[in-house]
Amino acid sequence: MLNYIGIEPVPDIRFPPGSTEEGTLEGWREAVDAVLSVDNCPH
Amino acid sequence: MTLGTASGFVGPVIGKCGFDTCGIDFSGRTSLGKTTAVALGVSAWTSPLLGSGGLLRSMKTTENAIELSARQSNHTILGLDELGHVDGKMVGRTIYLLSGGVSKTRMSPQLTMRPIFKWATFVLLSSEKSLAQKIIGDGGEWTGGMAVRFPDVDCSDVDATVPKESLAKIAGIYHHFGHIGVPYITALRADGFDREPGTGELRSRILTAAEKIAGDGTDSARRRAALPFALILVCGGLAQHYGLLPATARIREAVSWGWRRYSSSVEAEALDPETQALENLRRWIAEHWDVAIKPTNGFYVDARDADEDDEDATTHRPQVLTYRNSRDAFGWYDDEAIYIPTARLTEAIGAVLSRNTFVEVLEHHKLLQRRGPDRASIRNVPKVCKVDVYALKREAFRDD
Repeated sequence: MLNYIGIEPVPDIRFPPGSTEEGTLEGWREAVDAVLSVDNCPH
Repeated sequence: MTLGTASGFVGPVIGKCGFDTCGIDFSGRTSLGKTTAVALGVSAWTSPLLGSGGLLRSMKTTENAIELSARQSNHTILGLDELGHVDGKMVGRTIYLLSGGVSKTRMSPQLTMRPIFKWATFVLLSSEKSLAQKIIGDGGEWTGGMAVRFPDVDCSDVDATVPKESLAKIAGIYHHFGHIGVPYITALRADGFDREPGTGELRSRILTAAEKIAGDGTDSARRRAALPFALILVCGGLAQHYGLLPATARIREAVSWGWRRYSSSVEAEALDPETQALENLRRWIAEHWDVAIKPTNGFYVDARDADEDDEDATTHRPQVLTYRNSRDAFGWYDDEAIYIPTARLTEAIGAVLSRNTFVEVLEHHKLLQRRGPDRASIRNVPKVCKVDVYALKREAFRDD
């Protein structure tokens, strides 16, 4: 997937299977929503 | 955690707009969520689990491995954790390695040059000590160049109490990751940000944001230090605009908080090397006063003076001159001037400026008691010896 984005492919360096994509965008958004709703954690 | 999350959207813009690698260091005691903040940014592109092969890496590694990590994170993000486990000098070298954006030149067994790697990425670091504390504490040299490339955000005032149910939801990033690349890049392309004039417009928007964050009338070093914050602000804003981050995310407030924390840090002092050099010199003089910085008329004492109460000793014993103390002399002083050997000046100012540059500072602020006819230094210390020294105004460095 990282190569697809076409910003600058890095075909010479591979990532281990399963380390670049898992689950869903919606699942990620839910986690991020929970993060951003925590008060006093600006970092 | 807002800064960490929004950082996930910076890498592609760094790549397309021609910015150099830069980033942010989250520092503070353990269990403040620093690693989680880094993991959030990384989860936009790969697994945020340390050791999974994703882009959150441990600093417990070699510089060659960090080069490879930087290359793998090209135009995305790189998280480096566990800075406490490595020597501060290595941290300093790593900062320059990462921001240099190019690998070391290497020779092949056939005596030809191997191809070099290049990268441009956004780096999130986390450490218990600030970068300056870490590097200086381990005998390294903290410079303004480091302070502007990886500004330090002290997280000590963060409230670490996060509700259990929120923590469980946040852990979702370890099961859902690597999904923003396609929608984010597609949206950037649709807006024309992958080619001119879009990249130029985006670059200028980011530079303007950096100027605003740094404040009016600030110098270029402070504007450079504001760049990582400006990248987070603008790219996080784009992610909100594209619906990838919730509209309720308070990115601007988080960036303001981060900049305030940085501005009040020791790290930011490195942005004003002139002031820092003068402070270092004052401290160096105070530390060595009357020990290694000696009075020009006080090298020798009459041993008879040691027995002031013994009248017989002072009147009948022969005069024996002894050293007041046996320490090596780093400098001398008299009523008007403090004499610092020219070869000691760089050490005395903590090497934050070159000797010539600092001498210009001394002349500009009229801090030299006297100077030679054609140079800032003089050729001898009165009553002591012929040594090239700078004669500093004593009243400017001492209250006594």
